[in-house]
Amino acid sequence: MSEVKMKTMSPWMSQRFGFVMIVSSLLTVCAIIYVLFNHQHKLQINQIRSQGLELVRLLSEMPYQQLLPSQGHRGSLELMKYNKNDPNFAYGAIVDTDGALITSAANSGILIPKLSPPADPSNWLAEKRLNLEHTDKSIIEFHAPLLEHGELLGYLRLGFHEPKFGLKSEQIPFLASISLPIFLIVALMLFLVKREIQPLKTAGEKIDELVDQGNFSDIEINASGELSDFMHKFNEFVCLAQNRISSLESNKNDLEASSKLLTYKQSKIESVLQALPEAVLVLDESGTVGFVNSKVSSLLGVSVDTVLKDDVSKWCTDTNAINYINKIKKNPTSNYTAESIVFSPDHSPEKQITLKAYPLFSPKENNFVYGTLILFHDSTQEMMAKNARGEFVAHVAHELKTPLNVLSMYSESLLRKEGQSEEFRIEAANVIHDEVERLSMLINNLLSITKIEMGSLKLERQHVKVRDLLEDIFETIKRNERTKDVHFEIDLPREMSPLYVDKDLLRIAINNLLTNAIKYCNEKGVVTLAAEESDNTVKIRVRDTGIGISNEEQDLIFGKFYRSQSEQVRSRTGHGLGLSLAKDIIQMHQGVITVQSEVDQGSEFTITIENTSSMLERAV
Amino acid sequence: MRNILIVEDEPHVVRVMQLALENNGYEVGVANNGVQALEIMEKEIPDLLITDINMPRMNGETLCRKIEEDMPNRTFPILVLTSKTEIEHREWTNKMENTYFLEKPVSIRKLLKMLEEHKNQTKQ
Repeated sequence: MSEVKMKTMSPWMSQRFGFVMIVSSLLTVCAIIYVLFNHQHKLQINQIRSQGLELVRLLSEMPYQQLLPSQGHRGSLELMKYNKNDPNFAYGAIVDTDGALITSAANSGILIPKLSPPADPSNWLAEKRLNLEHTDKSIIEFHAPLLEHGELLGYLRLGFHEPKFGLKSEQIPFLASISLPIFLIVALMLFLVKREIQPLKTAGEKIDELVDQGNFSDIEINASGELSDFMHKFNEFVCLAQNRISSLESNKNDLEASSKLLTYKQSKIESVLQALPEAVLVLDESGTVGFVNSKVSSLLGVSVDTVLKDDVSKWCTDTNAINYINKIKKNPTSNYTAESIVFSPDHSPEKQITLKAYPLFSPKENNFVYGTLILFHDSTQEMMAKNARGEFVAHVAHELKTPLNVLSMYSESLLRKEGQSEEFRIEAANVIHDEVERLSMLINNLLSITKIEMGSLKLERQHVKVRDLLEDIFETIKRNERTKDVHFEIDLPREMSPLYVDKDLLRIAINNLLTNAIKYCNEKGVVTLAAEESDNTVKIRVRDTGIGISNEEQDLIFGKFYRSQSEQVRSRTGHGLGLSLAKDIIQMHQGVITVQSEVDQGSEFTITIENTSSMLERAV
Repeated sequence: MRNILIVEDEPHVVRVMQLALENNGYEVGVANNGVQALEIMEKEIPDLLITDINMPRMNGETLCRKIEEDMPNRTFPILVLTSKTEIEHREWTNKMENTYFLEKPVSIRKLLKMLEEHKNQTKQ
């Protein structure tokens, strides 16, 4: 709230007010005097005019000779000089028609001014204003023609002093008698005004104090009448203002608290939206993008600003996604569909993004929609998992179908004419046995892999005489493998320390390696099972002299269902699970499985497992 | 119709089919994949071709398309071994003229019946 500066009457202002009052009263007195004097002056002039004209007419009508002085007779003109009743009389003169002075009577010090006789008879009787030479005095002259028997003998001139406008000493008491009461009235008024103003002044000072202190309280002053009423109302107003201010401050505090709470809540919601793994767009009721989280950068490869400011076509190229978003933007409160759009962003086409919109219903009014929430979900992993699941099922189905097909055909044939041959029956029995074995192995491998992946397969470790185990595996596989002409070799140390392993699982792993070695070995090739022991580890090697594995494929062969594109591999039966399972089993034993191979030369798979003494040492 | 060419990479399937067909008076040639089949057909056109789909080097679909291209006036029928679920393979099989599918697992009885029916049709 801006501070309001209040102007109060300073002592200097108060003094000036008194000064103005005095000056005003002086001016009033002067004005009155001027008006009076002016009036008096005009009266005097008018009197001189009327008297002068009357006198000059009267004298001009007198016989000419009586006007002139003669022996023993001063003449009428001369008499006027001594007329004390008329202090304004200056001179009287008779001049001939040419203006030459015949006789004159003038008060002392007066030099009769020259005057040309008026030519026009209408101007013979007239009044003129003349300045006396060498003086600042003015004369009002009246002249009239002197006629005798109709003949113009000359002119009579009478001069009177023009009364002066000014103060005369005899007028001072009069002036004093007027001025004094005025001054007294002014002084009295000043006193009364000051006395009336004093409480106002006090109130002003107290208001100043309140303003300085920023305080609101009642002002108490000794006043009566209207001022008292005014102060009472003023105090009521102050009280009202104080209540209003208190209420406003309280509202302000409430608003500030609410605002802080709202800001906090908003920040919290924004941080939740920012923390979501999905890219989030929030559209308001008008369809304008109001919020975008930072995930749009990584997911869609566009900046937050671009999504906020630009049209959807600027940051998305998928037509379906653009149409979907535009549809919602145009009618944000109704166009919700259960469908979602799946597309790949330009910057990483290998990604798959699922786009879906959700209406933001008001929690209180179900019919009211604040806007729309649009989520961009990275569904790449889900897509890959789905594809992988589909591929897995397809692989399993295919791997199951092949032996089932053979079983079906052989069993059917046994019931037919072919089945009557002893030779065929033996062959069929062998094939059926082998295919059942194959199916059984496939199913076992599948179950084992699934259990390992689900984490439900627990190792049942025991101390195993590894040499005996390897010999047993070797002999079993050698006995069962009759279809191929392969030479088997075994190369084991004389003494081998026991291993603390899951015997059955290790058997599966080594068996899978040996089965592969036989499968991919050349005719008359050699399959070797070897082992060696160092201080800490036991290495079990399975070697063949078969088709080998290219460098590029050596990293891929341990993948589930991976089968080489090579025709040599494809021409042999297999389900692509053996190596994957072997690797899982060895990893469960904290071991590693590696491969060294050269195309057309053969492969060597090495299992490296910590021996029991090393494990015990580590455990201790 | 006596001369039948079996294109199949699974030896046991070949063995059973071959035995059954030969026992019923057919002459049977065998190819392990599409490439071998085309090589054989360059020398002798069979009266009937039975082919699997998943095979190394050249699969059954490619083989059939190749035959369509190379032999537009082919008269011998082709039997494609598919399972019920392989709908995509049934589609192209149905589009090719004089091409039929035989459901896996192959029933010798059904196969012989189909051959018999076909023989009767051609006689008429």
